[in-house]
Amino acid sequence: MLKLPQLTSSDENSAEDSEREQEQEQEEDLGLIDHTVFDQLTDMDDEEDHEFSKSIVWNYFEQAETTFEKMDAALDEKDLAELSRLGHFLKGSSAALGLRRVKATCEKMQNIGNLKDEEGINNIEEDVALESVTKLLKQVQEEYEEAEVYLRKFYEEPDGQ
Amino acid sequence: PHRPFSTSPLGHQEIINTRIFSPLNPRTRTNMPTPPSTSAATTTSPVVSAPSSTGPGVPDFVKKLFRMLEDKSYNHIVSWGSTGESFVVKEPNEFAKTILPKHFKHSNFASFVRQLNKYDFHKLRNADDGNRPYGEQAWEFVHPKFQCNKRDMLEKIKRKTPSNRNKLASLPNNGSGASASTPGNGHNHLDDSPSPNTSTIMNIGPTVVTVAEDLQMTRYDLQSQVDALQKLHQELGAYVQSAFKGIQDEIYGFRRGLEAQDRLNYEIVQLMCRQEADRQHEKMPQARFRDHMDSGASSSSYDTGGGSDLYTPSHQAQKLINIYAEASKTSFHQLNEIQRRVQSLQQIATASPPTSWPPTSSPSSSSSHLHHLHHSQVSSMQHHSLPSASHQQDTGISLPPISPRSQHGFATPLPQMDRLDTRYQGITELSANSINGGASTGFGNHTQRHNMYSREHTYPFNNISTAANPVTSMPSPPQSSSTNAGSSATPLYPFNTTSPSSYSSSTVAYTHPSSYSFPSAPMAIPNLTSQKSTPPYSSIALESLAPYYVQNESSAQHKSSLFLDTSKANVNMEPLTPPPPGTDEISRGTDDKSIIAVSQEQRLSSSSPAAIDSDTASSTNNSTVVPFAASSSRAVGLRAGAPKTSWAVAPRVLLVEDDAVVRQIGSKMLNFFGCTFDVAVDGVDALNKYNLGNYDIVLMDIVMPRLDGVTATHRIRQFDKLTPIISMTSNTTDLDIMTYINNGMNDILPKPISKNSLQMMLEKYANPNILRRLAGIDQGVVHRSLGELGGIDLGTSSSPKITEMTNNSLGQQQTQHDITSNVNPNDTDTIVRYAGSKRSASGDIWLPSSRQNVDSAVTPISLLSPRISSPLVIGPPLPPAMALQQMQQQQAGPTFVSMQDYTNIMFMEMMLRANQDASLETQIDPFGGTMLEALHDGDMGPSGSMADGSTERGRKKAKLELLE
Repeated sequence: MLKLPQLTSSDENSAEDSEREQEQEQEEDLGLIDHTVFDQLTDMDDEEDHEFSKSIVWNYFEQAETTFEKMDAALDEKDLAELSRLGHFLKGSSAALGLRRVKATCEKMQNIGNLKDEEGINNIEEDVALESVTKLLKQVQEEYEEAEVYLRKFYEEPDGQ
Repeated sequence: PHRPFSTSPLGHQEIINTRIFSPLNPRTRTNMPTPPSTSAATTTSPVVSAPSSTGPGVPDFVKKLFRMLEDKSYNHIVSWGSTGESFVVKEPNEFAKTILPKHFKHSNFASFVRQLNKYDFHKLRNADDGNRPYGEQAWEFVHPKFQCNKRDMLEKIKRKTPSNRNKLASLPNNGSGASASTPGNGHNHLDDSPSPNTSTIMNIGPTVVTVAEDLQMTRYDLQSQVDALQKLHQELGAYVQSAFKGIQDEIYGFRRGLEAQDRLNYEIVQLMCRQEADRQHEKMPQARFRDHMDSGASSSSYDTGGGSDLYTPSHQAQKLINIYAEASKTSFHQLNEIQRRVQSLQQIATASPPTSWPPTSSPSSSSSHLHHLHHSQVSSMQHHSLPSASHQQDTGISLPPISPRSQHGFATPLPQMDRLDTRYQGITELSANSINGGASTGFGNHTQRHNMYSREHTYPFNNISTAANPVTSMPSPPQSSSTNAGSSATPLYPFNTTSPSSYSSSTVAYTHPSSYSFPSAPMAIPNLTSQKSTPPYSSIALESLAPYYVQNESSAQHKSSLFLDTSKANVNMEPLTPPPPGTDEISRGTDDKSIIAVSQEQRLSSSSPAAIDSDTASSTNNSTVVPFAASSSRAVGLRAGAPKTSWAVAPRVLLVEDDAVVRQIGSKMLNFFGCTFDVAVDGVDALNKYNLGNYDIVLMDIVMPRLDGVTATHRIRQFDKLTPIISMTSNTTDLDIMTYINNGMNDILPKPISKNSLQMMLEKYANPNILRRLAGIDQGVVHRSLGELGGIDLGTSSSPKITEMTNNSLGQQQTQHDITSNVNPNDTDTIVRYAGSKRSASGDIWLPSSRQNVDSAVTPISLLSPRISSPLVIGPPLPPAMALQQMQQQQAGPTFVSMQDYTNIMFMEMMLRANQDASLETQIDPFGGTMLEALHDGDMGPSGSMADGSTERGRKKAKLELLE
C-alpha cells in the first residue's frame, strides 16, 4: 500500500472545498453559536413557539451529557477509538445546532482519538493523544456548559438574543 | 357646457392620436398600412359644420338627425313616428344606403344606432302582438326631448356620460402603452380648438355640408377604430416577434453551446481512444495485432482471461463512444424538436399579417447544420427518424413498460465464454458501427464513413479489440466486422448493432434519460401500479440476485484467470447459484434464435409506439429511437416548467441517521419540503427499511453503530444502482469523498445540513428519480433484471418459457419485418444487429458492477446517477471533470437535462476507470475488497488501504492532467 503524496489532496481541492475550509476556519474563530445554523433551526419553529427547536435542544443536552459520561468512561479505559467515535458523534449534533466551539473541539477529539493531531493531518503517539484528549474533554465540557447556559437562557426568554 | 360635437372629434382625435404617436413606435409606423381615407379625413375634419337652424348648444348629431327628419322626401324610409315623439326608420337598408351617406357621411346603420345610443335614444320594442305599424324591418327610436317640431328641446339632448367618452378616447391608446396616455389627455384639449372654427362655419354651412360632415365624422370614428385595432395587432405581432426572436436567440445560443459541448465530448472521446490505443500499443506487439486482424472466425480457442484487463478499458471506451454518439444524437433530436416547435409556432405567428420580421433560419437549414456538426458522429444516421420521433411525441405515446422487457432477459447474458467472446466481438463491431454511424443508413455510407473516421476511431478500436485477445484469435475477422458489419448475415455476430440501439438498451439499463424524463400522467398511472405490484427486494432476490452473483462469480473467475490467482476470486462473492454451465456448447442456432427473439421482443416493446403507429415504423432504428427523442424534449419542457421548490410528487426520502438531534432536524426539514420520508437509525435499519420501501433518495449518515453508511450504501448498490444515495457527513476530505463515491454514493451533503443544501440535493437527485419512478421504471427491479434475470433465462435456453417467448417473438419479428422491410431492406440485419446490441448492453452494464465487486476500487455510481453536476462529487478527485461539468452547465443552461450530462458523466466514469485500470496493472492486489473493508471501519480511517486508494487517485490525477 502506498502513501498518498500530500500534495495531491491539496492540489485537488476544488474551489468549493477551499471555500468550505475557509468557512470552517472562520467558524472556529467566531463565537459560541453559529447563528446561521441555529436560526435556521428556530425558523422552523411555529410562530411564537419554540417547541420544536427547544425539544431538539433539550434532546441535545441529554445526548451530550450521555456522551460525556461515555467519554469519561472511554478515557478511563484509554479507549482512543471510542473517544474518536464519541467525538464524532457529538460533533454531528453540535454542528446541527450551530454550537461552533463544541463542534470544533469534538472534531479535535475525533482526530486525536484517531492518533492524529488536532487537524487530523499528522500522526501522533498514543500517550500524546491521551494527554491532549484529556484536555480536550475538559475543554469541550466547559464549552458545552457555556452553550447550555446560553441555550437555556434563550429558551427561557425567547426574545432575548 | 359640453362641446357639441364631441362625437365627431372622437374619431378625429383617434386619428390624430395614431398619427402623432406612431413615430414613437417605429414598428407601428413602418408597418402600419395607412388607410387612404385617413388623410382625407384629417384634412376634411376642420370643415365640421352644423346647421344654423339650430342653436349652438345642440349637438351636431342631433341637429343632423332633426334635419334629416324634417326632410319629408325621406318619409318612406325614415320619418317621425305617428305620435311625433319618436322617429322610425322604416327601411334600414335603404336608409343606410341613401340617407346615411347624405347626412352622416357613412352608410353603416349600426354606427348610426350607436350614435343614437350615445345620445340616449332608445329603441322602441315592437309590440308583442306583432302589430308593426311601420313594417317588419322598422326601427323606432325615442328620446323624450326629441320630438317632432320641438326644436327648442333639442338643446337638452346631451351625450351620455362624458366619462364614457373619455374612456372611448383613451381606448385606442391602450395598445401603445403609457406614452399614449398623456397624448390621449392632450386630445381632449385639441378637441376644443376646432370648435370655434366649427361654430363659425356652422353658421354659414348649408345643411348638406353638415350632413356630409356628420357622415365624415362617423367614418373617422370607424376608421380610427380600425386603426387602433391595426395598431394593436401590430404591437401584438411585434411582441410575438420579439418574443420569438428571444426564443430563437436562446435556441441558437443553446445550439452553439451544444455544439461546443459536443466538440468537447468528441475531443475527449478521441483523446481517450488515442490514449488507450497508445497503451495497447505498448503492450501489444504490432505483429500480433496483425495476426489477429487476419485470423479467421474461429471463436473456439478463446482465452477469456488473457486480455480482460486490456479489453475492459476498450470496452468502456466503446461504451463511452456509444453513449457519446447517442448523446449527441439525442441532443440533436432534442434541438430539432425544439426548433420544429418554434418553427410551427412561428408559422402561426407569421400568419398575423401586418407584421414582418427578419427571416429566421428554416428548420431544415438549421437541422442540416446540426447534422453537419454531428456528421462525424454516429448521430447523423438517426436524423431521418426525427419526423417520426416527433410525431411520436405529439401523439403522446408512452414509454413502453419496462418490466416485460426484463422478463425476457433484457440483457440476455450468455454463457460466460460465449459472452466474453461476443463481447470482444461486440467491441469491434460496436466501434465499427459507432464510427460508421449505423449500418441502417446503407453500407455505401457505412464504408465511406468508416474510411472517413478510421483514422480517428476505428484504428484504435480495432486495435484494442484485437489487442484485447493477445493469446487468441478473434472470433471473427475484425475487417468483416468493421467494414462489412451490416452485410454480414451471420447472426452469431449480432453485435453489428447500430450504436443507438445498443445505446437505447444500455441507457435503460443505466440511468434512463429516457425513462426519468417521462412524466406524463397517463403513462405514470399504469406504471405506478405496476411498480406497486413489484415485489420487494427480498422476494426478487431469488430470481434476480442469484444471477447477479452468478455473473459476479463468472467475471470473478474471469478476472482471476487474468491474474492467475483464483484464490482471490471469491473475495466478494457469495455465490447463491452455480455459474451457468460452460456454454460454448449451446448450439449456434438456438443461441441466435434466442438472441434474435429476445431482441425482437425488446425491440417490440421498446418500439411499440412506433409499431402501433405504422406509418412511423419506417425503420427499426427509427422506432427504437422514438422514446428517446420524445422523452428528451419532454424532459426539457418539464424541467423548465418545474417550480423551484415544489414537487409534482413528493419525494420519498429515507433518512438514515443515528444522531437523534440531527435526525429530528432532518425530519423537520424534510417535512418542510413536503417530502414523505422514513427514518432509519443505523445501517441495518436502513437496509431493512430500504427493502420495504421505495425511495427516491437516501440521505445516509456515515458513522453509525451496527452498520455504517458506506457499507449500507455498498450493500444497497448491489441490487439498486440507481436510487441516489447522498452521504450526510461532516467528513468531507478528499479521501472521504473518494470513499463515499467509490462505494456508490452519489453526492455529499455536508453537515450541518442546511435547508438550502438539502433542498438542492433533493432537487438534484430526487426529482429525476421521481420522474423515473413516474415513468414506471422501478429502478431496483429493472436494474436487477437487466442482466441477471436474463442470465438465467438465456443461459438455460431449455426453459419452456424461453422457448415460448422465442417463438412468439419470432412471429413478431416476422410481422415487424413485414412492416419495416419496405423501408429498410436491411432490416433483418438490423434486427440481428439490434439483438447483438442488447447483449452488448448487458455486458456493458454488468461489467462494471461485477468488476466493482471484484476490485471495488471504482464504483460506477456516478454513471448511474442521472445528473451529477456537483463539483463536490467529481470535483476534488477529478478537476478536469469538474471543469467539464461546469463548462457543460454553462453551455447548456440550468434547465437542460440531457444526454449530454450523461455523456459527461460517462466520460468521467470512463477516465476514472481507465486510469484505475492503469493503476491496477501495477498493483499487487487487484481485489480491493480488503480496501473496502478497511474503508468501512470508519468514515475516515487513515488506514493503509485508504492510502492505497489515494495512490490510485494520484495516478488518476496525473492522467487527467494529461487529458487536459
